Amino acid sequence: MAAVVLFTDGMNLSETLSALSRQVYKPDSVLVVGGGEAGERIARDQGHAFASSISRILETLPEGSSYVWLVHGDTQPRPDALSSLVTETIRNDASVSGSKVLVTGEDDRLDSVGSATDAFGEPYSGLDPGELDLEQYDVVREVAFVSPVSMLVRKDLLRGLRGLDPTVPPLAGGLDLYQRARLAGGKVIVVPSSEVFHADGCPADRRGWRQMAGRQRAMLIAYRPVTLAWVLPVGLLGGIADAVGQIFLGRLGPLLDYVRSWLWNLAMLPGTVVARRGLNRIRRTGDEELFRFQVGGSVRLRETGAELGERLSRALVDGENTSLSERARVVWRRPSVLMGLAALVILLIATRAIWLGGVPQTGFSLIPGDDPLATLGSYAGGWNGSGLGSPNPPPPVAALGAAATLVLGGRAGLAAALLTFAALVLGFAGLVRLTRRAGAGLAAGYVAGAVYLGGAAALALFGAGQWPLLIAAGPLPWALDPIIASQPSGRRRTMGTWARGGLAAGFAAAAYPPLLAVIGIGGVLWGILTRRIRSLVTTIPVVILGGVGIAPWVVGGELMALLEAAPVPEIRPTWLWPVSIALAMATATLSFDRVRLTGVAWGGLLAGGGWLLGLIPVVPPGVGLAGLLLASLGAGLLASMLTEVREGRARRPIATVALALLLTPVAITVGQGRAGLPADAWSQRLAFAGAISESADPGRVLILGRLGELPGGSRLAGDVAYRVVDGEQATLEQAYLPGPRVGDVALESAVANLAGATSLRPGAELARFGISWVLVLEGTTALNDALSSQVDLFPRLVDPDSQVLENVSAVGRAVADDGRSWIWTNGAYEGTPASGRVRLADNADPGWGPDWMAVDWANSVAATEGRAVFRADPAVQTAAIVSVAALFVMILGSWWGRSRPPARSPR
Amino acid sequence: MGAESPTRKVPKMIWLRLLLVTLVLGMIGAGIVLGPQPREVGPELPVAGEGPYLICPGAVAGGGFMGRLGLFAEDPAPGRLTVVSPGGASATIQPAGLGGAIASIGDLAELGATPLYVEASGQIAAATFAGAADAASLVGCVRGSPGPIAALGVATFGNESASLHLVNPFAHDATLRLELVSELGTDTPSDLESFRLPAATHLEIGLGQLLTGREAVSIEVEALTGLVAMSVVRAAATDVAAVEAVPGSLEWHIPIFAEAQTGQLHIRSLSDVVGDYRVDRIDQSGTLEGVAEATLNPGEQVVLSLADLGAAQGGLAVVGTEPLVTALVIEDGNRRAAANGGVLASRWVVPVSSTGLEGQNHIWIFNPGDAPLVAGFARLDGAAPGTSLEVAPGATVDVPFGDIGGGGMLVESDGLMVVFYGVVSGDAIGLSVAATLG
Repeated sequence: MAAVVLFTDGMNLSETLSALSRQVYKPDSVLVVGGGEAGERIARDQGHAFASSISRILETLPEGSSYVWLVHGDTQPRPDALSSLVTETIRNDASVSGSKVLVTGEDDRLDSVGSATDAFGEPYSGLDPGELDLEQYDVVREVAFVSPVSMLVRKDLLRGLRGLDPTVPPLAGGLDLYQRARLAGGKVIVVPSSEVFHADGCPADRRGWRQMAGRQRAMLIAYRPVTLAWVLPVGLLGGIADAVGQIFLGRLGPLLDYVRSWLWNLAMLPGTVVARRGLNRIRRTGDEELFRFQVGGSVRLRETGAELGERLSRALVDGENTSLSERARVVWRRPSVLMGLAALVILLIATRAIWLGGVPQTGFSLIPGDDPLATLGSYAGGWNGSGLGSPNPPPPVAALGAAATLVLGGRAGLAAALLTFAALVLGFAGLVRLTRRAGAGLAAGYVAGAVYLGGAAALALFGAGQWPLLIAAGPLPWALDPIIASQPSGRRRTMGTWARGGLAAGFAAAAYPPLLAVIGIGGVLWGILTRRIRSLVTTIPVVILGGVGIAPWVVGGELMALLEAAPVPEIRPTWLWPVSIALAMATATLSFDRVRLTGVAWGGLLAGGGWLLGLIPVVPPGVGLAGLLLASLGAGLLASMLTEVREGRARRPIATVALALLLTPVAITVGQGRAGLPADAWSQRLAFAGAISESADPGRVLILGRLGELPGGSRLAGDVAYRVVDGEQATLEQAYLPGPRVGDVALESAVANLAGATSLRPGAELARFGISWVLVLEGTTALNDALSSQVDLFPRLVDPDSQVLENVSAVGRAVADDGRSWIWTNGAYEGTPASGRVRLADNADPGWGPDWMAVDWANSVAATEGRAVFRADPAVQTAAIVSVAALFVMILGSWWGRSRPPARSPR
Repeated sequence: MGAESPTRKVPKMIWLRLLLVTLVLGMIGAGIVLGPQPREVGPELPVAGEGPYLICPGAVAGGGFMGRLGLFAEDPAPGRLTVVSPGGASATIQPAGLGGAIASIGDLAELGATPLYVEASGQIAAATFAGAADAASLVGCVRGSPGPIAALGVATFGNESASLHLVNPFAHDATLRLELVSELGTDTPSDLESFRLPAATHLEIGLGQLLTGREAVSIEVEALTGLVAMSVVRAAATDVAAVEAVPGSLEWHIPIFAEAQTGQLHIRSLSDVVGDYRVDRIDQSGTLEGVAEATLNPGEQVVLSLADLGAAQGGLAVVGTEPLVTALVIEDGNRRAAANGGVLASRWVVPVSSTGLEGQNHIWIFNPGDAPLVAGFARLDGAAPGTSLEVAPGATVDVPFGDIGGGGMLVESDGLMVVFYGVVSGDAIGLSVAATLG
């Protein structure tokens, strides 16, 4: 019997050696491994042999020994530890046996008593954190993994397996050894009667990329190819998911470790192949033998999920400082989590059509284009291609959509769907949090979330295709949250609160900029109601930081064009809102104490005032839209209060009626399954342009119809709404039309000429705008007579519900003097270089080049370079840089200044 | 922080609460009073007007015929002629002088029947002339119409033949309903009752095979969708007569001149209901009302001999209680000519005054009023100073002139009149009503 003591710096080796000397069953020899000169000196002083590394164990061990006892240098085995190991190993004919490990200094705290692993090598002990040893596991049994802190290995097996893998840390090395031993026909058992004490926080046990890499290597060595075929991809995806989850928990390290570990394995691949060959020579069993002792799923993902759930629970129920020690066991049993899950399921049901068919394309609910970089370039001062173009950047929602598309590898539909769902989840959770702050209970918070996102105001808003406001509904409560929260103590937390609020305000404003004003109004109102100056003070940085987040649009955007892009939708039936809010206010105001009365007042004023904003003629419609979202938030708050009206012979029934009125539209929203958005109208409607067009550029489509039926914004000629859309898809970046410029005035005249049939060839006139197609929506009767007496807009039978007319006079958006068309691509026009000039059918702007000149309302540039580009506005460019920097600063600031929960045990 | 005690009857801060409720209710009340914002409306769209184009359904070139188009355009901007066919040939035409221009249709295409359309600016008027050795016809150019419109005066008896020309130069297909009426009554071949005329096409239908032996055939067409223009051609041994289809009117005037005295007056109802018509004979001795009058059933046509009406000079007025179409049809030996009745106007354009034929051009001015009027003439090419003449009440004045080349003539007067024009060359005669200007 030889004892091998694995020593690294920081361990109290002397105590371990002393404990070894007290063993009832004394080892014949003791070999100290590692620790460099210190290890060698201690070994020499105490008369033991020394090996510099673990790879030299086999050659250093004396010949006579049959077993090797490997112990960590910071371990103190009980005197009978070795004898128990030997006895049970022989009795059970085991190849490897491990001790029960208790934490040094805490007599009864269990550290390890054997464990299973998952398929990816992660040990799963099943022990509760801090679980005491009540001898509940004291059964000798086969396991996948024993703590390498104290293990007995048959020497012949150790030799056959070529020892411990010296390239990986002890924990991973142990796993590797056990798997190989089992595949070679050996048994791995845990012997609870063999007790050792081991220091908590042993350096050899530290997690990190080396441990991760070691487990991956063990997996690569042990599994047969058929197992690796599924374990590797699943493990890779699981690892990525875990790393992403860790990012949400504020830890970037695991992602880096994960990448590093696979890079290391890639570098070690030749050695891994050699090790596999070595194992194959002695393999006696298949991978099934390993599966017997494994648990399903991923242990890491489960742990990360539990922690995320716990964080979510804490986020919703602020101040509930449960300890991490409880989270894994109890988190999923909490009412908040269960209700959260129920809400999540309802949200999934309420968005089922989106998951099945994508975000409906209608109104301002349009998917981002397939060139996100061009859109981001446009937002950062490039040419805004919406309508007939503008040097002013598109609203930031275009950049938001483009950024999401970019992150998702160009999958615009998925980006829109995920943004939608994320907004709903965020908005729901945010309102639950707000209502809690306003004094309502948890269940009331969920009612508030439902009314906020699915109530009458939301239904009117989202039902009018106002997808940007749906996206804004997500961060809006989080932007208000720091304002109404108890003011943090300390500069760091204050800064963190501002950053968090600014970040949320920035995202809300990115979706719909006028919300910044609404956040300001909400904050000021709260400050007045609560008479808290600090709320007012917090409002200012939140709004300012939010504004910095959309700096390019603040610097170069067109506010009025955005505000007048769409009318304020009417809440139907018209009596519903006034009646439900009046009933709710009358009841809730008389039912609560001062604290909740503030919430009632805030909710009532927001619900009434936000709604009123949209009805005042002098208020721009965009402010009314933002007001309506605020009204929805207020109604949510009121609804939450109504659920808690417990008294009053008259008040309770009235509260129930008011609540029912507020909640009824939610059922419609959920039932439709589109998150309140209207049915899809445009996802395939313009596809004809690409399908029929013989040109690489399908050209622009002039759409004529009734107000509210067109994709995105439109202009009016009489009661006919019209707009141009580029190409075969109305995209998010085209949703908002820039303010009218000289070309738009000319287009208005062309539309009037078309309606007035002033020319037999309206197509020729429209061709000057790059319009290749005219789509006349059903019901646009004003144009019927005119369209029947013309010769160059030929009907195409591609849409049963509308007239599609092909402009046979079309020449494209950009045409060179030689008659060749140039194509709009990547935010610029490209074509064959030629000596003449090229006319660009976009609003005239001197930013175009090379050698720009205006031709009527359009641009003419030299064709010599084969590319016409727009010179980005440096001020907007700078603003874009500032906004990106501000975004990162706010993210870092939120993290740096976050509320820190009590210390957790390490993963 | 929970709900207050159920024993408390009056909550604390009742005034504050009442103020709060009042405030929110006030907002709601204000919202109700304001109501939803009015629906936005943009600048008024113009109603589709009469675009500056005309379709010439009777244009002919090739097949032994020489074709010309005469144009008057108020605006001197270049116009454009385009043959009606997919990708049809096109040419510019430049009005000169007072706005006249003439073009050879054969320069564009020679398809026999070669319908075309002309685009120009401002008020426009146009007509086409087709001529051969012993044949001549003049057909006015018209706007596309959903109908109903009708063309009268064709026959298929003996050696007479007839054809129908339907023209849809527009981008939309037209769905047409046709009704042919002859002396036998409604006489529509079932194949022609309803059919589709594709966009940018012209359809020529020979009536000889479908309706043989008819002495007087009129054709009404209605476009159920789209727009259409139509002309009919009647061919005798040598000469041809052609006339464009026009919409109905309650009153028509027809001058009587030497070449017309052997002619006939064709009248057809364009109404869906029964109506009456009355023919008045007007000459320098006054108006004799009701030289013919009767009831017309929907779609019914009547043919009256001018001789029977006693019309040797002056002119005729046809008045209906429902919309009618009338035509003056001349059958004189080999000569054939037809022209629609005219409406009263003080400004007229004779688009074609240069036919290239040997013979005489004529302008006939009929003054149906009871006061003399002075009619002024001006060449559209501006090549000669204008002249004028007096037209006595109830008189038709024949103004013969030679081939003046260039554009047509502008005829203006201080009173209401009807202007016909034509060309007489040996056995060939072409006749048409001039175009009115607003």
